[in-house]
Amino acid sequence: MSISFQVRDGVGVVVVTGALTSAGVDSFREQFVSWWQGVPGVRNVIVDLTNVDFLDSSGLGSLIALLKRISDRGGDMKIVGLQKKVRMIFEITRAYKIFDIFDNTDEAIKACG
Amino acid sequence: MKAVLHVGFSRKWTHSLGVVPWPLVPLGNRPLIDYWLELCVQYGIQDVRLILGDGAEHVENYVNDGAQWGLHVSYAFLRDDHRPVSFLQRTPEQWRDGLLFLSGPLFPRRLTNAGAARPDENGFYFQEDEGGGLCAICRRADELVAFCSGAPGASRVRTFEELGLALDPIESTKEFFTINMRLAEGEMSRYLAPGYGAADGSCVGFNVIIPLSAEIAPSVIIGNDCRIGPMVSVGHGTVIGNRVVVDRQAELARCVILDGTYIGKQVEIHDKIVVAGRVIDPDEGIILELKDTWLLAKVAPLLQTKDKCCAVGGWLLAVLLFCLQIPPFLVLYGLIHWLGLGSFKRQLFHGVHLQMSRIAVFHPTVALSSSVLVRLFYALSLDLTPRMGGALLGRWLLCGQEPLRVPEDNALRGELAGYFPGVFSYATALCHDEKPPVIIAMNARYYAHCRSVRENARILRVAFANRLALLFKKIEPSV
Repeated sequence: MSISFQVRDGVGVVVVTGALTSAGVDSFREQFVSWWQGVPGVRNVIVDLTNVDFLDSSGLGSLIALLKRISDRGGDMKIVGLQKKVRMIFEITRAYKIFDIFDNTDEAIKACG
Repeated sequence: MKAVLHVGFSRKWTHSLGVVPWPLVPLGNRPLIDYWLELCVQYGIQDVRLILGDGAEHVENYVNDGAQWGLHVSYAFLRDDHRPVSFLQRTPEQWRDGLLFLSGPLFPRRLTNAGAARPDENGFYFQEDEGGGLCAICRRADELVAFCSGAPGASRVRTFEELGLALDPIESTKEFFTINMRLAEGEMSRYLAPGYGAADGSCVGFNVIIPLSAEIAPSVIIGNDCRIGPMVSVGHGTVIGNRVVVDRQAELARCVILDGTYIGKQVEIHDKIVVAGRVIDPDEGIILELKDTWLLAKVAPLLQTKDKCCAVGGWLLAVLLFCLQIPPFLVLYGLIHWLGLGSFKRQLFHGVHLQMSRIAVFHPTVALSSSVLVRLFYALSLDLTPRMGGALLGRWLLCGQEPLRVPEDNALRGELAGYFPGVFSYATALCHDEKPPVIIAMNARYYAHCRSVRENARILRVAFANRLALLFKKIEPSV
């Protein structure tokens, strides 16, 4: 799993690639926290899961932990690009009730504005 | 009229369901082959020939000799490179009185509640679909063979719609799902005899626990031995298989949950097929394997730690009882045998772990009321001493279900999710060799659900008390 971070129009964009499972959640969390502390002006974050082909309960838990951290700063988190299998996990765990889900990053950035 | 059902060719899509072969895929919780055998019964067919292939043993285990349907079922094989109809050409004279021929996964869907009409005496009904499924009913088999070979038949070809049937092909998980949904949404009542269908079109099996706080929106189909948790919502069009556990606050709607699946807390399943830890989206054909057992899982095996503890405790108690029984057994049985009042005969029973065992069963030659010796023999449970020996060897448990006979109870053995044959059972107190099958089945299901140390103690207490009471009774105990 690899992660990249960028800031577009004042919105943080986290692009995750690979499987977000228990094997990678610690690294994901650590990288996010170090980046998050370095961008104090950013409040809203978009997590791009277009290249994530699978995620398990640990991965879902890490996304919820991210949402909490972002909410603590008064921001919001949006998810974009759910693949079919990932979408099924969001469906059966009812995670779609927690996150705002968009088809692409542009739509999500617009919603943040 | 006879029937030839070719169920041999495998279908890859069934692998995702974990059910192989296709004749056993559950439609409304009943295997597909069940519908065909019922149709044979309705058409007055008695002889059915099943042509087997992949998964032959599973089909044969389920259908057996067909006695369950009142049919005589025999089996044959055909090589994969041979056309199904070539089987008919082997001995065409066999089918001269008429033939129902099926090849491939077709579901005989009844179009009305009235059921399927009987075929005309001279009618020739035929359907072949693109997936290779073929079904025909013909009074003259030579005509059928000629038709299948491409030669024109003498009779006009009629459709199955005229018989009130639509033969729906099942060539994908999507078609499997669609048929299940149709059944769950009310069509299931077309396949139930009057008296078995609920007014709302739902079908709920044996031993299903539904708490008051659960919300069930008819019509639904629920199999046997299921547990629905509190505040669960089971929506319209849900098919739940056997031995399914739905944990609290889960939400199900328009979905198929196959046998032995655990649905975790607050999980939501809509328009999906779930098999243990696997979720299948029938529309898009996506298969998702989940390893999070708190979400979805295979229901834990029936033999659990509690059962093992019961078995060990029971074995120690069996040793004690056996030692206590041996001296009076030798004396009393010696006398009974010498006086010709009864003897032991060996019978074949299903034992634990799929093994079969012979048990010596006591057969008195006199009525209980006429012999104090025989009554004393029963009262001290000495007729169970050989069975107790089997318990020491690990063939039986001390307390459990009534051991099932071979072959009389084979069908029931196949139906039971958990089999725990015991020396003592609910029926032990009856002192009868012949117990009504319905009582045996009812008790077996009840024990599989309620088994515990306390229940075992109750069985022992009731059995000993009732048997000792025989000493003071002068009448024959009734079933």
